[in-house]
Amino acid sequence: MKKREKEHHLFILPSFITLIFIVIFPTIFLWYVSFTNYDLSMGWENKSWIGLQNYKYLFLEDKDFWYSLRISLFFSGFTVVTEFGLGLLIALLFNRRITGKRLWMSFLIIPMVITPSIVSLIWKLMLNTEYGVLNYILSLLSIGKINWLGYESALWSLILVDIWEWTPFMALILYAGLQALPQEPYEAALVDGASSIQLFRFITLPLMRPIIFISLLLRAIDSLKMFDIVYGLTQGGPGNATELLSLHIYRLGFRHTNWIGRASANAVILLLVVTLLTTVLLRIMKRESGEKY
Amino acid sequence: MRRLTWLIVGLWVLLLVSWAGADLPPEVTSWVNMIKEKYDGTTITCAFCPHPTTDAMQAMVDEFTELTGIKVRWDIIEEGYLRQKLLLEHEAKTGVYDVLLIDAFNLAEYAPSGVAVDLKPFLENKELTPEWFDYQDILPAYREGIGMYQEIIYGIPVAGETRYVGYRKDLFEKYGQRPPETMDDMLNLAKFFKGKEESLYGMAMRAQKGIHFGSGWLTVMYSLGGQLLDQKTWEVLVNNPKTVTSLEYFVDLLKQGPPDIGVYTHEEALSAFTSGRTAMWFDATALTPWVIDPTKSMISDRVGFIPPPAGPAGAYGALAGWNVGISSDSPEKEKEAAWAFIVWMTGKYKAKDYVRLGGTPVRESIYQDEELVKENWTFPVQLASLERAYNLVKEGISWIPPHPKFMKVLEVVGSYGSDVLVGSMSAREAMDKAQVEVEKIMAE
Repeated sequence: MKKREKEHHLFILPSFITLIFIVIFPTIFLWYVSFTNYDLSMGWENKSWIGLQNYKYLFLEDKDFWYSLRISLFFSGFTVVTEFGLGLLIALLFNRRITGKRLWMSFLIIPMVITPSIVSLIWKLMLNTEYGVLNYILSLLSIGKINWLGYESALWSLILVDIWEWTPFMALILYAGLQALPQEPYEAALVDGASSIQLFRFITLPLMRPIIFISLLLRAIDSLKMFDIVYGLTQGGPGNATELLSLHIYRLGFRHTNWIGRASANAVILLLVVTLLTTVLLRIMKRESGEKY
Repeated sequence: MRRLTWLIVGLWVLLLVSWAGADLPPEVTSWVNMIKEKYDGTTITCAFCPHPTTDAMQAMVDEFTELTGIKVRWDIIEEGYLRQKLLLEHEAKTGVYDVLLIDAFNLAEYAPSGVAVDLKPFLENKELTPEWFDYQDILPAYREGIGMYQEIIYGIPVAGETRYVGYRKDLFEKYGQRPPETMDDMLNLAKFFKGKEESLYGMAMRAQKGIHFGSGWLTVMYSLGGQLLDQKTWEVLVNNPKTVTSLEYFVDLLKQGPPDIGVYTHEEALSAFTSGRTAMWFDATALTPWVIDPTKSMISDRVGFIPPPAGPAGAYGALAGWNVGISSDSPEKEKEAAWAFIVWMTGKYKAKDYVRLGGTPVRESIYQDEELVKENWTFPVQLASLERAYNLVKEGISWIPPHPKFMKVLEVVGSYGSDVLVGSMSAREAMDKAQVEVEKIMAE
C-alpha cells in the first residue's frame, strides 16, 4: 500500500529533473554569480566572491539603474493597461456579427507573428525624422516633423511599437474568453430588461475575470522583460531615455564592459520585480475566485 | 545531362590549361616552384569572417592551390564570434587554425595571450618572402598602426580604413562656401547649412549611445588635443580639459545634424547623407562605395571628399582595419605554408587582382595606380586622409589605444557622452563622473 502511495514520485521525477536543469540550476547560478566579480574578459578562474558589492554598485553608484527600474515599471504599466483596453474593445467588436471577420482577424495576427527584431527595424525606418513614412504622412497633413526617437519622445515611440505589436495578443485571448462565455446568464438578464452596459458590467466582466487576469499577467511579465524591440530601435538611447532594465543588464554584461557579476545582480533584481508582480496578481486572482492562497 | 557534364569538364580543362600557361614572371615562378616542392599536399585552415577580404581571397585561392599544391580549408565565422572562437581555440591549444583574420581592435587582447606569432622572422626569411612581396609598399599607417602591437608585427594588413569628410559640392557652390580646412570651419559650415533649405542639416555622424558615440567622438578628439588615456602611462584623461572641450565640440557638431542623430549608427548617418538630408558627412572611407554608387545614393554625382580637417592640436585621422596573421598553435610546417598563403594573397604581385575582386587597398602603389584611380576617383583623397592617420602614429598614439580594457572605457564614456548630447548633464559634469568610473576600470 505504502509503495503505491509513493508511486507518483516516480512519474513526476522526469519533470523534476528537467526543472532542475532548466530553472533551478540557472537561477542558483545567477544568484551565485551576482555575488562575484566575474568579468568575461578576466576569465572564470579569476573571479572572486565580493558579497554585496554588485548590489551596492547598482543602488549607490550606477547612474542609470534607478532610472531604468522606474521607466521599466512605467513602460510595463502603461503598455499593459493600454493594450488591455484596446484589446478588449477589439474583442468586443469581433464578438459581434461583422462581415469579413476572418480576414480582419488574420490582419490582426500579422504584428504578433513578425520577429521582434524585424519589427524594430521596420519601425526604426518608419520613425526616422527625415525619411520616415510617419513624418511623410504628417507632412501631407501639414503637420510639422516629430522627432520620434529624440530624448523626450523615444520612450513614447517604444510604447507605441509595443502596443502595435501586442494589442492583437490581448484581443485574441479576450475574444477567445468571450466566445467561451455561457449564454444563459445573458438570456436571463435580457428577460429582466438589462441594458447592454449592464450586461457588460454585471455579466461579461465578472465572467471574464479569470481570463483577464491571465492575459494581464502574461503581458506584464513579458513587457517587464522586453529587450528585442528596444535593442533594435534605440539601444537604450538617446542618453538613457529608453534604457529599460533588461537592456541595462545587457549593457553591463555584454556590451564591451563584460561585467557579468553586476549584470547578474541586476538580473536578480528584475527577477524579484517580476516574481513580486506575479505573486500580487495571482493573490488577487485567487481571492476574486474565492480560493484560498 | 551528358552535354552539361561535357561542358563542365571542358570548362575545367580550359581553366587548368589557362593556369598552366599563365605567364608568371621568373621571380614569381621560382618562388612558386620552391613552395610547391616543400609544401605540396599540406592543408592549412583559415579562420576568417564574412568580409570583402574573405571574398577576394576565396576568389584567388584556387590559383594558389594549383600553383603551390597547398590546400586551403575555410572556416568563416560571424565577426562578433570570431574573437571569442580564436581565444577559446588558443586556450585549448587545439591548433585547428593556421591563418587568422585579425581585427586591429583585438590586437591588444590577442598579443598578451599569444594567439598569433611574431611575423618578423618570416619577413626576414629571404627564401620564404620574395622581394615581390614588398612589405614596405604597404602604407606605413597600416603597417605600424594596425599590423603591429608594441612594435611586434602580428599581422599583414589586408583591409584598412580611415575617416574623411564627404560634402555636397552643389550646395557648397550654390552658397559660395569652401570645403572645411579646420575643425572650426567644419562646425561653422555645419551651422551655416542647418536649415538653409527645407529638411537640410549640417552634419551626419554616428552617435548612438555607447561605443558608436565613443567612436564618433574619437574621430574629432585627437585633432582637438583630447585623449581618453595616456598611451605611455595609462593615466586616465577622461576629464582632462582638452578632452572635455573635444566632447563639447563633438556634441555641438552633432546638434547641427538631424534631430534624432542620437540613435544613429554609421548606417543611419550614411543614409542621411546619401538621401541628401545633410550637407556634410564624417565617417569611414570603407563606406565610400555606397556614397558614390548611383543605385544607392541620391547624391553620387554631387559629392566631394576631403581629408579630416586640422584642429588646434594637429591634423590627425582615424585608423582601423584587419590583418592576416598566423596562429601560434599551428604546427611548424603548416606555419610556413600559411605564410606562403599570406605572401601570395597580400603580396604586391597580386595586389591589383585583390582590389579588383573587392579587397580594400592597403598599398601605396595601389592608391597611386592610374588605372585603379580611374575606377575609383576617391583614392587620392583616401590616401591624403591616411597620411593624416599616420601623423598620429608618428606621435606614438594609436587611434584605438592598445589596452585590453579600452573597449570598456569607450563603452562607458560613450554612454556619458550620449547623456551630454540629450542635455541631461554638462560635458564637464559627465566627464568628471566618467573619470571616476574609468579609473576604477583601469584599477581592476
